[in-house]
Parts: sequence; C-alpha cells; structure tokens
Amino acid sequence: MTQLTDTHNNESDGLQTLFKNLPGMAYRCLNLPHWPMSFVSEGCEALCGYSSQELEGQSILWGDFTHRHDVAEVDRQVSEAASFDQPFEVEYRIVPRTGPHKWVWERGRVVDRLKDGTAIIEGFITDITSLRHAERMVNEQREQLAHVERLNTLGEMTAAIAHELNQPLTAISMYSKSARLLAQQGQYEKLLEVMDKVAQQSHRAGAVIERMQAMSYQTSHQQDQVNPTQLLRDIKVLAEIEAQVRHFTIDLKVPQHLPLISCDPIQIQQVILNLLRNGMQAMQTNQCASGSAIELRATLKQQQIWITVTDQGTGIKEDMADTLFLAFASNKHTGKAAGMGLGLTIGKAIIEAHGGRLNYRNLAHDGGDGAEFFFNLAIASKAHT
Amino acid sequence: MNQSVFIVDDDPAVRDAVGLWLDCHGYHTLCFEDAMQFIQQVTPTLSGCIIADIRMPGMDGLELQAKLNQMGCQLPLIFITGHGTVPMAVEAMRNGALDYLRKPVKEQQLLLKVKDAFAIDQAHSQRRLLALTHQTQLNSLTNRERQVANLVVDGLANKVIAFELGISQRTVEVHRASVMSKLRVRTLPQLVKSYLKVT
Repeated sequence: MTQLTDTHNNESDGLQTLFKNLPGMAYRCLNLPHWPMSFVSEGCEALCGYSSQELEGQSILWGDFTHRHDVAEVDRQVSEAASFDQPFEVEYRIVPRTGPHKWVWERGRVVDRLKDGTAIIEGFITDITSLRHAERMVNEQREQLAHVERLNTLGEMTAAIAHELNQPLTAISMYSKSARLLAQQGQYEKLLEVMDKVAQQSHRAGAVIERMQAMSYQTSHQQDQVNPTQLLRDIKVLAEIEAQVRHFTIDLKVPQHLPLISCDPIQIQQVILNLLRNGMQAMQTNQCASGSAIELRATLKQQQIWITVTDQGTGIKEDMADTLFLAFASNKHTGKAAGMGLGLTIGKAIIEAHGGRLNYRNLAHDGGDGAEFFFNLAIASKAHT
Repeated sequence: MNQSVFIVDDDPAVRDAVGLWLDCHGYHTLCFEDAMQFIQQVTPTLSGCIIADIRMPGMDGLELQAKLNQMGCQLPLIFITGHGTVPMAVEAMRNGALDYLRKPVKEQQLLLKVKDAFAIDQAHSQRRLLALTHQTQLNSLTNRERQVANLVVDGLANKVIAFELGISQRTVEVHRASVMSKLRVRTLPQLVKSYLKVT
C-alpha cells in the first residue's frame, strides 16, 4: 500500500534497526485534520507515550495531542508547504500521554498524493525540549542582565544628578539662613548681594533639571520607515519568552496590508514590550487561568496606526489613575514584580516624542475586567506599500 | 591664638555660602578652591578646623585627610559631601574625621560641629603647649639630675640610688630636690605624673 511499509518488509531487519536507533520518530501520514498516521517508527512511544499500534490504528491522532495553541499554526505551515510540494520544518509543542508538554522539531515533505489530491507526507519528529529550555534560560539571563544594566545606568544617573543639585541647594540654604542674620543685623547692602546669589543658585539648579529633561527626551531619535506588521511580529516573539513563563499567550491581531509607519523601532518596541509585561503582571495578580491571552492589536484609523494592548488583569484602580504616568509611582509593590515605576512614564515620553498619545481605559464589561493601553503613530509620508 | 575655619571646596557657591554663614556667626574663615592650595598653607601653628568636600578634582577630600595625617596636622576635619557612599564615610571616620555631613547641610548642625571642632582644637593646643613646657623643663635637667630622676621614678630609695650611681646619699638628696624644683612639683606622685606625660 505504501512505499515505506513495502521497503520495510523487504529490508525489514536493516530498517528496523535504523528506526530503533533514531532519536525520534519517522512517520507517514495524510495531510488531513489531525494527521492520521499510516506508519510510525518505534521511537513514537518514547516521544509521545502512545504506541505505534495506537497511532497506526488511528485510535488517537497526532493532532489530538498537539498543543492546542500550536495546532492551527502547524496546520497552516504544513498545508502551505504541501500545496507547493515544498519540504517543511516546524517547531511546536505536544502534550504526551504523561508528563509536561514537550517541544518537538518536525521536518517532512509530500511524497505522493491520493486520487482526491490529499497529500501523503513522510517525515521525522524529534524532542527538542531540553534545547528549548536552554534557549529560554539564556534569554532569561540576557533579560536579567539588561535589567541590571538599566538599573545601573539609572543609579549612576541619579547619583550624578543628586550631586549636581545638592551643590546649589546647599548654597541656597546657607545663603538664605545668612540673609536672615544680615537682615537682623541691618546689613542691608550685604543682604541684597546675598539675595542675588540665591537667585543665581536657583537658576543653576533649574539648568541642571532642564539639561536632565533634554537628555531623556532627545535620546537619539532615529526615525525609520517601519513595517508595523513585522514590528509587532518581532515583539510577539520577544514577549513570548515571558508569556511562556507565566503560562499566558499573546494574541496578535494585525490586518493585512498596513502602511509603513515612521518611528524609532527600538523605542516603540520598548514601549510595547513594557505594556505587554505590565499587562501580564496584572493578569497574574488577577490570577488569570493558564493559557489566558493578552491581545496585541494594530488598526488603521484616520491615517494613523493605533496599537492596542488589552489584558485581562485587574484594571487600573481609581486611586492609581492620577499618578499612572508619573515617574516612580508603581502599583507593583512587592516581590519579583516590584517595579521602578518608570515604564509608563518613559513610554509616554517616547510616544509623545513621536507625535502620538499614550492612553488607557478600563474594560469593565460583562464582569470581565482588564485594561486597554493604546497609542497612535503617524504613517510614513512616503507610504510605499 | 586665633582660630580659623579653613573651607576647602571646589564649588565656588558652596564655598562662598558656607563662608558667609560662618562669618555671620563671628568665625574667621579662609577659603581654598582645592586641596593642594590648602596643603601649601599648612603650618604646625595653624589653629581652628577644616571643612572639606570629599569629591574634588585633583586631590580629593580623603587624600587630603591622609596627607594631613602624614604631616602630623591635628586640625579637626569636618567633611561635607554631595553624595557620599558608606565606604567613603567609614574610611573618613576611621582616619579621624570629626564628622561626615551630607549636602545640603543643616546650617545649625554645621555650626555645632564647628563649635565642637574649635573646642577639640583648643584642647589639642593646650596639650601641645603643656607638652612643650614639660619638654623645656626636662631639657633644663643636667645629665646627673636626669639619671637620678629616672631611678626615683623607677621607685628606688635614695640609698639604693646612691649605691647604683656610686655617689653619696646626700648628693642624691640635693639632685632630687633640684629636679623637683625644676619640674615644679612637690611630691613624688606629681613628679611621676609629670614625667610620664612627656616620655
């Protein structure tokens, strides 16, 4: 009936040994929903906990235990490759009969077609869970490092600013106290001189603050023409690392054919990542079920791209609302989530530097809560999509 | 002896303001814009105290302190700093700083500290003066008188001293009386006390 099983019969001994020693499982299946298998090699039991008899007898299908969040994407990629007779490579999760989910890598291609055109696929699937874990660990460490670096920079900056401000403040305070004495002693000429010095030092302190503001807003504003779809896809990949740790998913909704936007992609990425992270933290606080989704959406409205992050978290409490965008106001007070309270402030500054507005609203519909943060970006003037 | 406050700070405004504040309270102040400039003015007869910044270009406050200690300068030192770290404060105090104040400094606190510093400096000066007097008195002793004084302080009786030095007991008594009069003491305990102060 099939090539593989025929060969299997002919050179059974040699192939049998080969299959037994494969670090994974070879298969042959039909490209139908949930991929019914007509042949699976011995490695399948080690991989998914189901025997080759069960899979070949189709009492359970491969797609039945493919992770429910991945099955649609795998199907899309396999079908796309099959329709062009191209080999495909996919990575996704399966839920084995026992134990936690596994990451697998699969490579396959169409070898034949049934009369009705259904593709017959042969391929190989292997466990890459440990590789994925290692990757995730590296990513987490990289994230932590970046966080520490940011904190360091912030710490150094704060120290420098504190020093620069303390000098004029010390002088002002001493001058004022002295002025009082001079007034009491009736030394008015000297007093006037001192008052001028106080004013000078106040201006000096003001200049420090002005310089500091200029520093934080000017930050090498590099405008690029950016494809919003690609930008959001990249962000999704980055944010998924954290989403997986928290057992949430990221639901990306982007309409087709969005025009290019003009922005500094790194800065916008930071803003969106921060919003996603905030949202996920709120969802964790709200004890959302594992697998809950945070939504990242782009829409085109009035020649502007609107980017929205919708979480299912606790929403923004009324008493937080006033200080939400102020530096060092954080509602993540304790534990790992304790925040610097700088994220939204910086985010707002970045978006405003791009000519947009960052805003939010609480979603309190049908008893479901959560919050939605959204901002707008201008589309590039020379829109060539 | 006139006491002065020596202000060492690279920031002209801080220097000026601290100076003005202390001037207003009747202190005599002298300002220096860096540590080297001050070091060059230091003599053993200086009296008063030092107010110094820690962070300064060139020689910083802690280096200034080390240099002064090395020179044997005993002027009390008050540090004022914009953003001192704990290790810096520990080092400063361990090396004998009178205090370590953070900017912006509380004016009253600074006044109190300067007052303390002047009292300490006064005590230093008196002790220096006393030591100097004692030294002069000791220097006025003859060799024989010093020998006798050493043995008296060691607790030996006149008879034993006479035997040790190979002189008559009567001669020992004369030397001993002369030592007492030169060192301006009357009793044996007073002699021992004054003797120990110097050696």
